[in-house]
Amino acid sequence: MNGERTLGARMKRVEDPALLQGTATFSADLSLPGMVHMAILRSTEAHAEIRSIDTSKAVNMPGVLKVITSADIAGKIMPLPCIWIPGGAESHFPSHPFGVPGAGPVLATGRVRYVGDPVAVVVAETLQAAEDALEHIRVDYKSLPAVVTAEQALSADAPQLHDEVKGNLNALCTYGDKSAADSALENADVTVQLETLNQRTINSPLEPRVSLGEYIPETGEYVLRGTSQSPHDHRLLLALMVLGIPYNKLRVISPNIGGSFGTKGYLYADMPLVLWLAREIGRPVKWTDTRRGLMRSTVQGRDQHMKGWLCGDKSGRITGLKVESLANLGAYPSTIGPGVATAMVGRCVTSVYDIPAAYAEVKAVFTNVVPLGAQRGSGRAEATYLIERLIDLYARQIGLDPTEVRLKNMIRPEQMPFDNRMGWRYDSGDYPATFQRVRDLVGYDSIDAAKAEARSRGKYLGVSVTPFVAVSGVGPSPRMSKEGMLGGTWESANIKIHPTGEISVIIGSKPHGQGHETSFGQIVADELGVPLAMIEVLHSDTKRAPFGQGSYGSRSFSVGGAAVLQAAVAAKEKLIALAAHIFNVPATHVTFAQGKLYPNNEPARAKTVQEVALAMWYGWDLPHGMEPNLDVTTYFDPPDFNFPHGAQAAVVEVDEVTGQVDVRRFFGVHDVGVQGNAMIVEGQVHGGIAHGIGQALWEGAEYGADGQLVTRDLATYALPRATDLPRFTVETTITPTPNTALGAKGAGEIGTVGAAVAISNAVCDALAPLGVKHIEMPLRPEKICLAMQSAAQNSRSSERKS
Amino acid sequence: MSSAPFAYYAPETLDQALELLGSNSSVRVLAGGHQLVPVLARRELRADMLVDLRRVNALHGIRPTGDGVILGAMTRLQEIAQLPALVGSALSDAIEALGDHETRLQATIGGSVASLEAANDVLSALSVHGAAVECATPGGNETVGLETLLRDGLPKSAIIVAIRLPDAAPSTGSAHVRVRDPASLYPICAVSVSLRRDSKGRVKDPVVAVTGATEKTCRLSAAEEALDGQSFPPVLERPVLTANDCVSDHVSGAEYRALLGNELVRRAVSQAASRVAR
Repeated sequence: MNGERTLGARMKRVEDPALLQGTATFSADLSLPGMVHMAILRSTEAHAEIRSIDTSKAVNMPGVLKVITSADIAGKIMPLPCIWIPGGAESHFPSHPFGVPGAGPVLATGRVRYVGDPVAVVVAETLQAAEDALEHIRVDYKSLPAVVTAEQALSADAPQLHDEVKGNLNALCTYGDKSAADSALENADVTVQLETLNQRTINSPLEPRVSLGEYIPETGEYVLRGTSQSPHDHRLLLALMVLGIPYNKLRVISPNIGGSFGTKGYLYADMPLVLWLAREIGRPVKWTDTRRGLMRSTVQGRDQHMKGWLCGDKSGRITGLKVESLANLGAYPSTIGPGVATAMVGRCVTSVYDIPAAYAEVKAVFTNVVPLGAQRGSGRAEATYLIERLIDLYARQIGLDPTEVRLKNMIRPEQMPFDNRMGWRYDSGDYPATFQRVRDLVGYDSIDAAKAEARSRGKYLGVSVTPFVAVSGVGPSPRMSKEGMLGGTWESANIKIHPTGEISVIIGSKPHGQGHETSFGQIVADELGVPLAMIEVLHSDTKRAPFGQGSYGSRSFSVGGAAVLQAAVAAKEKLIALAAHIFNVPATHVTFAQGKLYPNNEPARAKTVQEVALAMWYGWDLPHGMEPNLDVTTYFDPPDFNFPHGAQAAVVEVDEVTGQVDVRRFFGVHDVGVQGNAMIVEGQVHGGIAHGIGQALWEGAEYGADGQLVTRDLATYALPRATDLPRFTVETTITPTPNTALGAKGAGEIGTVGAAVAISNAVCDALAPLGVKHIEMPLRPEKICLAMQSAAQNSRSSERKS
Repeated sequence: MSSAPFAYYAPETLDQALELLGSNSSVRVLAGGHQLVPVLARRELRADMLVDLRRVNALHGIRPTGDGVILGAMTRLQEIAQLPALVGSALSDAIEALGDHETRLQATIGGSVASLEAANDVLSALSVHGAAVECATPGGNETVGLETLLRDGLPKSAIIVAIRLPDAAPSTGSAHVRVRDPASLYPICAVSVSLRRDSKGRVKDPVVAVTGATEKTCRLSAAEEALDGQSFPPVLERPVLTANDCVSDHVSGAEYRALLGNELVRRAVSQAASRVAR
């Protein structure tokens, strides 16, 4: 160890060789003896009544074992539940027979509500046979009018999606102080406003979803293998609310999965279907999605139609903020979609600023598009986008430098912990320091020279410096219950020290690319002073792991890691207690260093962790009351959320003729508190930044007025490519969260939270000399050209007037 | 996803291939497959039969002819881009701009021409290189100029055998520039230009082609006329493309395509001119 701590060290990820060289088993690779294949017939209509479904031809096709529609599962497979009920003024859901909010039937019943809604499934000997048979199912639809935007869905004459939900309004949630914000706006010197659509994005993990169901008649046990980022959550919800089977008769195993970005924490129809069908057919049933299937069925992100009003005085002091947002939930409430779309926006709108009067109101609305769920940074990215665009507009209005305005209103470290007046209590951090550092990195003070140089090449150069804070680490269970979460949000860890000294760490959270096996191992290696190679980190099998939850909301390391530290500390205490007994000294006289235990100042008598563990296994001579073996299980429920923060800066160039945007440079200073592995954190940040730049420049789900998805594959939906991006310059500062002993804050989403608006602000800055104030995302060149042309026309017409 | 069932043949001679091609109304020819295979796999296109040309020796290989080169239809695009005579030309620019390395190693020149898709960098570049297309049909071989091909399409039941590419005249420069759709990577608009400098330092034989912006890949005669006879370096003063000439779809409007077209013609002309040997 050479005195350097293992925790935080830039160690190579132990899981990478297998993941990258193709030897790891991904969900799509799974195969069981006797396995058969399921294919899903999805609705081709955005909104229609199902008059009839004729499966007679499909069922007689070669290799076909079963064809089912909603009639076959009525009363046998319950509708999916929604478990995050926005804790607002009102909320309305489709019904569920168990009294919980419903999230729609497993197979469309009487009506389809989006293109992609599952209508029927075929199980056949081969995937080919199942897909051939799908083509022979005849569905007689009676088209109904479709509605694709939240605004349309709220209009008086809009088609109604769910009988139980009047006016398509799922929830109306309010945050902050309305009368204070209204009065600030009324009395302000300066008010700026912005109406903007934070466009819907399609989550695009490398691997589409997979579900493989098995039923074991001898034990009556069901096994679901597949792409789950929350195996324990899925186990509870499927057993309790969908299949109605005992919890201990459902095992969920999630092998290596190729990314998720939040999507694979949701319940989908295929999960209960493969389990139920496996029992019906008596053979394992596998379903594997395709890219096009993913794009019309896996939960999508963002889609907040926002209006913001920011007011202040002429010196740059912000006095008030008001936000109204319409969240487009899509056709059904996804598992936790309604909560994500409301609280994660409404409570975040003030970001890093000390705004004395703020209010946000979010309406969550049903429409005929794919259900909305999480996407890396959800809610926080939309909120950050709005406030940072507003501040640029405000600074311009009063003729001040936008970085000065930001600093003037930023929460200062001595104000920590800080109540943001919207429901969050920021834990720690020096927001102005990270902001100043990024401002220096980007060379803000000499940017005018760079702008002039770019003009000589036919380019407009723009710069932005934007801070962010991102609530992470879901969460304190009691608090989450008040937010409307129907479930616990603690996390777990188990540490076993084997008689031969190797250590198994079993965790309740689940990696889908984050490198848990490395960074969680580093916690234990650091605490017990043993090499990382002695430690294996096991996860993703509900039968092997202790009770746990899953990975979402940047909680794995910040919450699950704290549980692991707690277990490591307990293991260490027990090792010390036995060593004290062996050495016949009080526990306080035992030194534990670098994997060895010895009486203080007598290193020659040292015993290794391995030797003490073996003594514990034999149990020949244990102190009174000590149980044999080292096997510690801990549960950790954090007292509060944690709040990673930072700042990012972008330099872009816009071509004066074609409007093409070139991201020249991107800087970030991020603070995620204590890190498990600095390289992994940096990688997460890089990925997050790319994600945010993707939304700013290219991504955007497009639906026709008829509800058909126009961007239906990767030839029509643009994702960022490595070759489109500059080298990112990323630094970190470390401010531990006081809320956990580990001190770690969330890291997986933060890169995304500010990146989109960093690009948007830089592009608007580039075009400010032309009089351009705002351009909507994605910042496609054609749109930029139009903005440049209309700005030029405006300035010509104002010249004529003067 | 898996494709719908189809019969698969990989004949060894051109005659066998032509016979198979005539044997069924729903037959598709498989060259590199980088366009055909995905649409089959997604069941967007159905074929009763695929005729894979990979075993037909007559379609492979690159042969110099003294005043040019014959590119066998199954020649992979990457191989063509690396031919010494083509480095720094419109054709190698066009190939280098396509997809990724793997695609360029799989895609064939014959397949690229045969697809005749609206946004086709290779077609546009071949057009300014003065290429001709040699086709085999049940009635015998016939060689079609690229202009004819662009106008009339491939002869009925034809298989492309080779692309004939004349050597560039001395003091000729060519270039291909494009703006791509970030999703498909196909060009929203791409322009190929070839021009020669005569002994008096004037532009001779300018050829300008556009793809992606227009319904079909086509020559831009307005640009060619404006360039012809100009002294070097040539400059285009006036627009050569209007929104009426351009297509509009979910990727881009016609106005923007015309704007791009005019700018890309200027850039391609300047690039081609800079490549004319001094």
